[in-house]
Order: sequence, then C-alpha cells, then structure tokens
Amino acid sequence: MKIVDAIWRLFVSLKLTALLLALLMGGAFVGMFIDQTAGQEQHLAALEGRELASWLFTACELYDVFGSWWFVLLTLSLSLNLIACTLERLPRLWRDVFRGARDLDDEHLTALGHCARLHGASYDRAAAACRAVLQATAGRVTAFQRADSLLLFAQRQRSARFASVVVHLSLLIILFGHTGDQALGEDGTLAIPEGEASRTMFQRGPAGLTRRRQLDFTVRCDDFRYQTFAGGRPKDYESDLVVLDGEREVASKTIRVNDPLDYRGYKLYQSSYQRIPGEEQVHLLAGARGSELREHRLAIGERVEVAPATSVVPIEVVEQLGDLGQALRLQLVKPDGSVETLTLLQRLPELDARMRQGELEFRYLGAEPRFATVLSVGRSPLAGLVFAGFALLMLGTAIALLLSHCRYWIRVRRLDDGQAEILVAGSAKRHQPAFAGQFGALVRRLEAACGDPGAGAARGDR
Amino acid sequence: MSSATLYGVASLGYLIALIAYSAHFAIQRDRARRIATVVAAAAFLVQTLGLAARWYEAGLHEVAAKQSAEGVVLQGAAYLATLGSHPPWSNLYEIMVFMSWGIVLVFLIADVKLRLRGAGILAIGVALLAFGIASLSLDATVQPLVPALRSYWLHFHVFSASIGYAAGLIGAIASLLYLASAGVNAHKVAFGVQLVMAIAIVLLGRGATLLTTLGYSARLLATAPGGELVAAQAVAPNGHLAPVYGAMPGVGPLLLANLLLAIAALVLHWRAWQVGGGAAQRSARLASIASTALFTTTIALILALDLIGVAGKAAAWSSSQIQPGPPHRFGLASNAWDLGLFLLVWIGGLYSAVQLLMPEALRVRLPEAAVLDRLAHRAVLVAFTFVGVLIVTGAVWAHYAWGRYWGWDPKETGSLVIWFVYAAYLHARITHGLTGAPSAVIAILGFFVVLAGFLGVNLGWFSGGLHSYGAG
Repeated sequence: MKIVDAIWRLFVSLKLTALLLALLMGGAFVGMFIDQTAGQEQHLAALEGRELASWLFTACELYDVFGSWWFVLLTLSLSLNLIACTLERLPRLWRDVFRGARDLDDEHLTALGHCARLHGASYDRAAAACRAVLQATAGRVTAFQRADSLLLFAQRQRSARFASVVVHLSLLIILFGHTGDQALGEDGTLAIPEGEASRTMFQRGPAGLTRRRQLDFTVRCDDFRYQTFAGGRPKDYESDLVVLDGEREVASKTIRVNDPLDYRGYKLYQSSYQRIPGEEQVHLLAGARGSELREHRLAIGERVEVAPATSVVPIEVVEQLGDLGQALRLQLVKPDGSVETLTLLQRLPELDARMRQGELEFRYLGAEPRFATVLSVGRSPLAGLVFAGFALLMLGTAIALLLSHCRYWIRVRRLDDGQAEILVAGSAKRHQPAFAGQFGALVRRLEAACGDPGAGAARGDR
Repeated sequence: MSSATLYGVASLGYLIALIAYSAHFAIQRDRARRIATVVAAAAFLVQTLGLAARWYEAGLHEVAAKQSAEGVVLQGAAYLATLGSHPPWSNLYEIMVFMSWGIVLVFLIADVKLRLRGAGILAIGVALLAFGIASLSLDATVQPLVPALRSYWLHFHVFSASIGYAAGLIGAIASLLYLASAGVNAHKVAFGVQLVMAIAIVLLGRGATLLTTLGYSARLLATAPGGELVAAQAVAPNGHLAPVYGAMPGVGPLLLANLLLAIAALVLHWRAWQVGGGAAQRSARLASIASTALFTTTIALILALDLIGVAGKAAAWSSSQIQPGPPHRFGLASNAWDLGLFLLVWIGGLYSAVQLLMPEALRVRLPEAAVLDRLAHRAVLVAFTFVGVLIVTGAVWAHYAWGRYWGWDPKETGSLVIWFVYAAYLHARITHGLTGAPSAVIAILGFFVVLAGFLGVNLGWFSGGLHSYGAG
C-alpha cells in the first residue's frame, strides 16, 4: 500500500500541477512553432541528412504535437492531478463551509482579520438589536446561548468557496468531452465541383497524411456563387446543397459562411472554395484580321473551326503571366496540319493582331471559372457536453471573480451591572478592502442600534 | 468628425496625460496627477467617440457595397443593420487601437479606485505605444469585412480579448512597481531587466544576423516617384516573393556592444545581490546604467535612421532581382513591432536605472506595496476571467463557423497558454500563499508569454493559422 500512498501523494501535490502546466505550455509553444498542418514526410524532407533531429522528430511525433503520446500523457496526468486534488480537498472544504467552526471563543474571534468591541447599555436590548442587525446584513443567524453570553453567527455567499471546484469540474468535463469527440467524432473536408455530387471526405490521418473516407450519404452541390468586393477580397460565398441518401433527397439548404447545414449530427460548413483549373469557359473573339470578329465560348480542350480548315483549341488559362495579368494559351491548327501555340493577354486584346500580324486575329476577353465548393464536415457528438462544460467554466470564474464567502460573529456578554460588552468579528475569503468597508458599516449599524454612542471604544480594524 | 481626427486628438491627449503623470512623478504635486487623470479620461472619451465614428464610417462602406451589389437603396431596419454590421475591430490596426482603449479603461478604473500614483506613466505609455504602432505601421483604411468575421460572436470575442489582455498588462505593471515599492533589492530587478534586454537584442536584432554579420536588419522599403511607399520584395530560394532585409549602418555594432554590456551588467548584478559589498554594487550600477544609456542611444539612432532612411538612397539595392524596379528609390526602415518591443524594454531599463540610483525616492513616489500587490491579484483575476470568456466564445464561434470547437490553431493555443499562465499565478497565490515578490515575478514573466501568444501569431512568428485576417 506504500506505493499507492506515494502515488496518491504525488497526484495531490500542487508542485505536480505547476510542473505539468509548465510542460504543457512548453509543448504548446513547440506546437505553435512547428507547422502542424504539414505532414510528417514534409517535415522529414526538411530535416534530411540530420539523423538525430529526424529521429527525435519522429519519436516525439512533432508533426502532430497535440496528438502526440507525450502531450496526451501530460493532459492525462493533469486530469488525474485535478481529480486527486479535488477529492483530497473537497471533504475538508465541505466540512468547513457547512459544519465549520461557528462557536468560537474570544481568543479565536480577536485573531480574525476584522474585529471590534462595542458597549451596550442593556444586555437584553443589545442582544436583540445585534440579532436584528446581523440578520439584515447577512441573512440567517445561528445563536449559541451561554449562561452569561450569547454568540451570533451568520454568513453570506457560501457558494464562493466552491468556485474552484466548479472550474476544475468544468475543465474535466471539457477534457472528457473533447477526448470523446476526438475518438468518436469526425472532421474533414469535402470538395464538390458545381453540379456534381460527392461522398469522399478527406481527413488528416496518422502522420499528418491525408486519408479518404466514404460518408454514408452523398452531397450534391447544385450551384456555387461568390461575390467579391471591388478590391477582390471575398465578400460572401454560398452553395446550394442537397444531401442524398442513395437516390433520395433527404435534406437541402443554401449554406454560407457561419450558416451550416445540419444532417444527422453532421454539420456541413461553407469553409472555402476552389477554382477548378482546366474547366473554365473561355470567351474569345476570332476572325480574319481587320474584319468583323466572331464570338466564341469554349471549354478548355473544345475545338472550334474559325476559318476553313483552320481550328483553335484553348488549352490553358494562366491566372498571372508575369506582370501581364491573365492569359490564354490557344492552339491554332492550320490547314497544312501544323500547330502553333498562341498566348493571348486579356489586358491587351489588340496585341495579337498588332504583334503577330497573322491572317487571323484573336482577342481573349476572359474566362468564367468553374468552382468547387469546399465544405468542412464535422461531427462532434459530445459538443453539447463540452458546451455545458464551457457554461460551468463561465459560472465558476464569475463566482470566483464576484463573490466572496463572508462570515460574521457577534458575542454579547452580560456584565455584572446588566450592561453588555459586544465583540464583533468577521472574516472574508476574498476582496478584503471591500469587506473592510462592509464590516465597518456593520459595526456602525450595531453601534447605532445598541444606542450607546459614547462608549464605542477600543475599536481596532486590522 | 472623422475617426482619424478623433484618434489623433485622443493620442495627443494621452501624450499630455503621460507628460502630466511624469511631472507628478517628478515634482509630487497632487494637482499634476489630477490634471493627468482628467486629461486621460477626456482623451479616452474622445477615443470612444473615434471608435463610434469608425464604426459608422465602416458601416457606410458596407451600405455602399451592398447597394451597388444588389442595386437597391437600403432603408429603415435593413439600412441600420448594414450600417452596424462592421464593428471597428476587424483587422490588426483596429485591434491595436481597441487594445489601447482597453488598457486605458482598465487603468482609469484602477486609478479612480486606488489612486495609483506613478503607475500612469507606464499604463498610458504602453497604451500610447500600441496606438502609435497601429497608426504608424498598420493599414488604417477601412477594408470590407470578410465573411468569416460576420458574426455576433465577434463582439464578445474581441471585447473580452481587449479587456483580458489589458487587465493582464495592468497586472504586470502593478507587479513591476510592486518590486520597487516593497523595497525588493534593486540589483535583483536590474538583473531581470538586463536579462530581458539581452534577450530582446538577440531576438529582435534577428539573432543570427546580428551575431554573424554584426548587422541590424531592417525592412527595405521602396518609394514610388509619386511618394507611395511599398515593401521591396525579392524571390527567395523557395520561389516565393519575400521581403528584403538590409543592415542598418552603425546599429549592428552598437547593439552587439549593448549585448555584451548587458551581459556584463547582469553578471555584476548577480554578484552584487549574492555577495553584496559597496564596490560590487557600484560597479553593477555603473554597468547597468551604461547599458541602458547605450540602449537609449541605439534606439535614438534607429529612430533617426528610420526617419531619414526612406528618403535616402541605397544604390546597392537597385539590383534587378528586387521588385518593384528602378524608378523607385530605396531606403531602410525597421519593423515598427521590433521598435515597439524595444521601447517596452527601454521603459523597463529606465525604471531599473531610477530604482538603482534612488531606490528610496522611487519607493515613496509609488503607491503602497500592499495596494499594488492587491491590484496585481485583482487584475490577473479579471484577465483570467476574460481570457476564459475569449477562449469559450472563440470555441463556440469556431464550432459554428469551422465545424470544430477546438483545433489547436496557433491563435487558440496561444490564448490557452496565456490562460495557463494566469491560472499558474492564481494557484501560486491562493494555494501556495505566494504573495508579494514571487507572484509579482510570475506576473511579469507571464506578460512576456502573453505578448508572444497575442502578437506572435498575428505577426507570423509561428506557423500560419486560421486567424490570418488579423495579420498586419
């Protein structure tokens, strides 16, 4: 049992908490410095030739710091530490709050943080007045009657003592929920070209490699729209989605950023979009030089005849050709079968006619890109639990910030001449300056109620 | 009035308040402190109006954009909703302005409650620094709000960030002042300050460059013939365009000398504090003050070179690999963030020098140690709470916007680390009973973690993440 005892002592120690917090912080910084979005291979390529570094990198799983064995071990130790500390301290805390020392002698009372002595002209009047004032200040009063004295006790905001318990409990709930979600939930991306359907989700798998997973439903994207601001920054984008179970349409919604679609616990979020290269609709004018030009709308790879026995095929849209902006590479197939590749600039449409001086003239007007909507697919079955943990966390910190457990004692002692000697004492767990003010106010009210202003001597707030 | 004008007036007000707080520190007339507080409060109101004006200006942009996109004229509730849709905390410039607002707010509350003599210099100084960095180096134009930020969560999220980090800063300032007010050995404090100075020189001098080439690198900027300023770029080995750095003449050797002096000073301080003795203390004091004086000179030189650097010509840079091409003139300018952090360290150096030279005079000019200790505790408690709210609102928002509530994004991790620091402080205090100097040291060290967690991610010290729209 010695070992169990030693382990228990280790886990209830706050030094362990400090050490674990420091190590977790260090680990978090490592995770921030090393790009966690790149996979193991990418990192190892960068470390090529450095045996020790590569070995350390792999052994410590630094491509996935937050999922690595040591980080998980640290988190686990911290949770055990939290549980052990709470179990160790809770009974004592409970006893102190609910059955704590209320019947204290004068020696203890004067040793409390705040203490004052008053004088009352009549014992009976003073006892009743003190009870009334204390009740008005702090609620329910417990009285301990002795032969020649009366001890009154009252307290406020007991719940403040449990703030740390609530916070720690909430952290355990959040950790538990998050771990459960890691194990049971899913997280990946789904890219669907406009007009198509897909069920293949890409996930980040072991070693940071991409893993495919087939969803048990299919998502079709009927349309994707996006708007940009004048400066070219994205303004808004949205997708018309239909969820298919086999052939049957089971859900549909137009989703946009911050407004997802829910389906059977899955959430489909608009996270991004992609242009699909090679699937643009090219807008082109073509014809004999100097004459009226004809307009064509072509897909990449689509051949069209622009003059007898002469045809063109758009082969590629280049987003940015040097400093010259968007360009189209166009293959020109001449009557003799020879092929020439032209580069047309959108920004300078007349350039082709001027520079090439060919029989035919082409003007590139632009391309309509085809988009794929990129959805982030998430399923966190325990999100509700985690959010409950968040609510508890907020509650706990609010209690810790705002409330303070305050206790008051008043001993009224009968003097031989029927007068009363009154000893007031108080203690607070937090917010000492504020409590000092409240305590002073209580003493002033008692003074007034006991009706002997002249004798309020020997008051010492400490 | 435009938000820019109001911000200008506010920063002028903060400057006057800073001078008045310094005057109060020097001459000890309570009137100076009252003037300072009133001016700071007035400037704070002006800045608040500026925030409102900025909100309105950004709203007008949104209205115009929406009207032109949808071809309708917005009216009534729709108009108001669009007008209010773009709060003034959507990019790094606005965040920094809002941070300075939060710092002043938290400081003023503490000042009214506790009469914080002397603390105003640091608090308003840092707020002014944040304001200055924002207006000098960040893009202040109203940009359209990106879709990911269009959410009500943004308000709670950013507000708690501002208050949380501001309270953390006030906690660190109170802790720093506590060390002097409680009569902690000036050599201990100076040891810490010189250590931080040495680290700052190595880090911000971009370590490798400083130690291998004796150069302090600054960004190369290009001035267009019309006067427009852009960062010069060149193709890096990985094929991407990257900013170009150049060595600022004269600064490198000064910084290196400063580094050696700071190391010497911290060794001497260690000896003075461990062994004691008049001679040891005198030599440590001399080294420390020399180091801070040299640091002052270096910063002044960097500032002067920054001012003339852009106008000057650097023919050596007109090589063909650098974009934009020749009609531009080149000049060097240091990164405003580097400068800001240098200035923070410099404030610490001055503080330590004053404490070394006249510890008693400093002590009587500061609030009571007990008050500062309590303020630090309270401020950290507030910071802990609001950083908690920041994390929770961020997580809930992320759940709705990205599909997961926690993904170890660098920014998320950074805020969690900050929360851990405050948790460690509170545990050390409450459970271990470590009040006073030990907890003050934790709060000061914690502030550097906060700086790394808050700014490090935005400035790209760490790998990129989803908070990229916060970048400057």
